[in-house]
Amino acid sequence: MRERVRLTRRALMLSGVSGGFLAAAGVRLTLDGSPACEAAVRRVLGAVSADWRGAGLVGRAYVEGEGLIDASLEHLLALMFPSSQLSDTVKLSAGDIRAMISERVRRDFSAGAVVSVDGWLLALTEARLYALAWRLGDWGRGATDA
Amino acid sequence: MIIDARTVPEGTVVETEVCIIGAGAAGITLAREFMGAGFRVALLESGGLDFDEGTQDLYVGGTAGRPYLRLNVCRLRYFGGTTNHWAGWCVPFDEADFAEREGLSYRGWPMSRSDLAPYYERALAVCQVGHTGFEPGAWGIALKDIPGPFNGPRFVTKVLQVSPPTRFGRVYGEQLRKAPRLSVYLNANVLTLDANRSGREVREVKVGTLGGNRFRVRARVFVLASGGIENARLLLLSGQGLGNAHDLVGRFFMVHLEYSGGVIAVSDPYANFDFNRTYADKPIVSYVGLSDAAMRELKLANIRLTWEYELGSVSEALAALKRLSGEGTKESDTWSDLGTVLGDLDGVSAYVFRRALFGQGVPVKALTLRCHSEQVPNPVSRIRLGSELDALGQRRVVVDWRVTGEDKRQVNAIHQLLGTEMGRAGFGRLRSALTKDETQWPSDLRGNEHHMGTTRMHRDPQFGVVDENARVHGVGNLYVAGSSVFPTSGAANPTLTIVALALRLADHIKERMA
Repeated sequence: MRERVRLTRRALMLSGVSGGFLAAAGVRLTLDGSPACEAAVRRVLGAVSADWRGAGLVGRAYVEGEGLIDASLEHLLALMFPSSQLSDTVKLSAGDIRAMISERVRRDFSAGAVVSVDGWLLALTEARLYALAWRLGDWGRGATDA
Repeated sequence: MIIDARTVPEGTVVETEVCIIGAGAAGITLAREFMGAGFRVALLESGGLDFDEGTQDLYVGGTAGRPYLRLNVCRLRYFGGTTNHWAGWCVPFDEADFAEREGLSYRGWPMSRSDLAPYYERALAVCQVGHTGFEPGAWGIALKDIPGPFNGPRFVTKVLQVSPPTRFGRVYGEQLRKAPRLSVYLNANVLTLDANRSGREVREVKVGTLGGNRFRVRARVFVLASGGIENARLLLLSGQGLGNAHDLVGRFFMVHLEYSGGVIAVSDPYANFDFNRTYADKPIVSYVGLSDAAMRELKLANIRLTWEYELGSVSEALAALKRLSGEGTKESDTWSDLGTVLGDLDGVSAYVFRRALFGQGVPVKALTLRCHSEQVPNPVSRIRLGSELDALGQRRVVVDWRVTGEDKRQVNAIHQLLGTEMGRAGFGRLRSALTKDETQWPSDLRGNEHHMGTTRMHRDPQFGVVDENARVHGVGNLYVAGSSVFPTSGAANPTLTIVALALRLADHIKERMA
């Protein structure tokens, strides 16, 4: 049995969750998990998070803590960017994408669409975003934050 | 005049008109109000002018249920009562505290905050604090300077004022000594209140001293003002079911719940968190609480939230200080001061350190949350008489303090709201120290020294020991003053409300005596 990730405040801070957060770069991709798709998501996350390792730790804690049955890249992408949102999103500037995601986070909190990730109360949108970060990288696997 | 009760001859019967039992915040306030009122007053105080171990030992008691504070440490038994170690925090109860609220049991005072407002105003003077009010704006805290979500609508910033603090015995003792028709009996322990045969009038109280002599005091009106626990104890000791026709005396014992609430990771580490601290050297403290509307609409109990800073690295801070001050130009004693401050990088010290020395040069890493929450009224939480006897042969008190699942549900709901509101406003993210388990609390949970509810006020004798005038139901001439009459505990420190209610009671008694 794998050790459960313990998410520290440092990891959360590094992820950018609590910062002036959630910037995103414009990307053009389809939800197929292809290398192009992955590269695009990496670019988005690069704008969102100052540190991918922190983001990945948050994402891993979310996936494992919630016991998500389907945490595949494709599924997470579909949750994050339903229907044609992804195509629309990538047409926006980085600043607009950041604003859009921030607004989604605010809406989540207003609507009570929140999730507890190792005790931290996060918006569903940000939790899913960092789950994507974990899916795309090695930084969160088997690691606990010091 | 001040009389040492140990000098009163055995068997004496003291005749007076109003007898006040207990010289703490409530008793002294009442006595002051009666000065010059034209009737004789006896103020009976268990202790002397100063702390005495033998007298203080009379406060020893036991605990059952959840562990609680040592009863001879969390209150003081000498002239001035517990104001002798009072911190001085003054704040009225919120409007919602007084209201009956659907979905919350045993709610509602037989008065509103606006009914009590003129007495609060007078109480401020008694407690030696200003009259600027309790609106943040009155203290230069502009709404625009308060970060969301603490500027409404769910959470708001509140202000409390700080008394010097007033040591009621020291501040008002001389006034009482000089007052005509007022006798202060020190070292006078009331043993029982004795009612007539019908139990509808108190005839006299029996008084004993640790010197061994006993005497009686007869009066037209008696006021029990011995504190949140001792008021109930004295009624229980008095027999005849005095005020206890419905088995309510001693029940509904409440305190404020204090615990670490968790950590807040802040969105902007350089943001201004000053609103949560003292302003412009004025003796006030601001804090975060629920709005009245949020408490009403969401059926939530009251809470006070404060936080302490976790700062960025000290080396970073020192570098900033060097930059700001010019290396080598600081006086050595300034560095000594700095060392002191660095040794205590939390709470107010951290704030002073950050603001006075570094401006915004040191980032706040996180805020650690402190919670001070209302306890839901609960008849099972109670004080009762134990089997142990004190030096006067009186049964000691046992505190059976209970914390319920409803208490936990309430604070869980508040924390959930806090977390979502902070996220919505972009203030930061909360990691609550609370689990969903209704029986589990943070390990540092403690009940504080604010003893309330044991002779609660309610118009209906089935739900309260005293009526809306603080008169004991079914007893024509016995009143109760102090926090024991509070039907709910709110999140406010109780002293200002104790004094306000004592002023209100004094007016009532003066009318009655006229």
